Amino acid sequence: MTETATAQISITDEAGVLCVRPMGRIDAAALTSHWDASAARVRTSATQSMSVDLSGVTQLDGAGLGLILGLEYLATARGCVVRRQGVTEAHARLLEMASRGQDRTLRAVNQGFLEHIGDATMSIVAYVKELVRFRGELMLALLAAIRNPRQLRWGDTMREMAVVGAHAVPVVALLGFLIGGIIAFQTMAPFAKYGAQLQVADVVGVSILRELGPLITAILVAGRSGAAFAATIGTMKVGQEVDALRTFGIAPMRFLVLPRFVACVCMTPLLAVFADLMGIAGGSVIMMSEGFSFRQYLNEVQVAVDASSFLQGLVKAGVFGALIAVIGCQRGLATAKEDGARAVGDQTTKAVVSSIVMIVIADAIMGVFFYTIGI
Amino acid sequence: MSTVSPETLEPAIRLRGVSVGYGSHVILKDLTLDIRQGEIIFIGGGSGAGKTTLLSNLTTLNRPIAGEIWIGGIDVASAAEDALQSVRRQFGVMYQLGALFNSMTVLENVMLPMEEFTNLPREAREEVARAKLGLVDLASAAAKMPSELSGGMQKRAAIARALALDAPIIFLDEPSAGLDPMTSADLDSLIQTLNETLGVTFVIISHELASIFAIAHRFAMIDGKRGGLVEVGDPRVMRDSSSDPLVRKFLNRQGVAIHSAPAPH
Repeated sequence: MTETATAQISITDEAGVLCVRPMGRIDAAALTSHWDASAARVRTSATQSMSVDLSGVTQLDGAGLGLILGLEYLATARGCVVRRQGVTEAHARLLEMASRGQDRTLRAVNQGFLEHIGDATMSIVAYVKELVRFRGELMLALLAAIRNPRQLRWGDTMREMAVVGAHAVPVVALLGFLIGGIIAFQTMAPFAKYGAQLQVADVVGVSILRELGPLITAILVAGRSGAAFAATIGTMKVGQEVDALRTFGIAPMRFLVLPRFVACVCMTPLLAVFADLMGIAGGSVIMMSEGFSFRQYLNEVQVAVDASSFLQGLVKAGVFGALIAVIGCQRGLATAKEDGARAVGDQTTKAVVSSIVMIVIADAIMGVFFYTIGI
Repeated sequence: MSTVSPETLEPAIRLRGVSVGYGSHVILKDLTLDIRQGEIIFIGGGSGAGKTTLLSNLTTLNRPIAGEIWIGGIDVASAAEDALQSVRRQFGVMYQLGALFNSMTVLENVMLPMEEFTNLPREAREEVARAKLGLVDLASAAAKMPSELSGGMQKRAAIARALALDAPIIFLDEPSAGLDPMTSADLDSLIQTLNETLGVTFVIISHELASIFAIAHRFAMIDGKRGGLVEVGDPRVMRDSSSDPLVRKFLNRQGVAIHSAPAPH
């Protein structure tokens, strides 16, 4: 075969030796054209010896190296002895460099099912322990700030209040209004069967003030602000800003967490009040479309709910706000800086999911608690 | 490994009257330079000289405000996006911090460009990626995640990824940044070996004098205040006999280990 720009690879069985003769320019194009056939031939050959003759190779690049070394590996993997011949000094140097330190046993180990469950359980236990430690540290910082209010960074706290609270008003208002309307609309037909359409106002009042107002608000705050807390603090962690704070002697808890915690605890109940009002307003639209007056609707709501229902909702919203801030900030600070952008994304997702799960669990516990004490 | 003199070959990159900057703010203007095939050229200057801006234009991330940049027969300053895609196959880039994808192993990082741009079967891609990692002496770290590697190893892995498609040109952005002198010298040696064995053209953005004197065939000094290219040539000759005081001052800083000059191949 004459030397051409196009690569050729001849593989022949000569007296029990598999002779591999690449010729021409052995590069990515040669690899694409010849890999499948060559690899199959080397893999299925029964010979115990392989000779690789590179004397016909005019040019060898990185892809070509992969082709030669790959065929050699396939042969040695089935116990074949490989010899090279006709290797120029330059090619020998490249082949020597490329084959340094190759260890194909170094592959990622797949975990078994039980190991996976064990790891997952341990990580949940570790997370709960970390959350308890984090809350303890936060409470100490909060007590210190109550004793000495100058400890709190008021500027940052006000900014966070604006972001958590004021900026969320339009979306909370919209959702509250729609939820109030939907509850009234969905309950109207069943209640009408009993001629109790006016009592739809009771359902709207109780469900919005006690449950849905605070719950919808909290889920929104978790999605907006909890995610933002985790992403912001996580990015600061990756960028070593948190390390810089620590080396300055500034506690990240006071500098980063406390303003967000105070903002969240104060603003979530205020947003919940807004959601309550808009929910009641939403219900009124459906009631008025059924022929009731706004005065009638409002009187019925006032009969159904009292101050305790309203306060119950506010307390719940305050607890939800605290949970969102704690989980969001803790997830941010737990970001592993070595894992970079991916870790920030992971922690942000976990912050939102954990917050929503914890909000619903806390809501159930508080519901039972308020019922037990007769509120 | 060509025996032809680099000066007689078609330049790997040709810059003609190039002005770069941000928006309408020009940092470097009227830059004319031929980057020869198979050479190691350093582009350096003080902080704010416009090195990174120039790199982003050479690597087609931004377009120059004026002028032409010819790579592989295409003017990237005016080429359509489709044409730029083929130009991007002509070069690899190693960024200052490596920019490896943290969610993939080192081997998968090197395999990624082949996965996207070739029809190679997975087994063949893996063989090539292993060979590339061997070239940068990182084969034993193939199954590791980037976060498990030291700074120097991350940069070597990034060079292996830049070599993945056997591009004839590799751009390196501050390869010595954040490395100790020993690791930095090892990296210089690797660049020189890859240049000699594979004939790859290296365009290195750096002001690291030890590296410049150790491996550069040529050094191009740029300066934003002077508006463009100050001087280009053999860094040792420029250090000793440049007529420009800024060049002499830049290349004669104290405390720099000066190695023997490499012979351009």
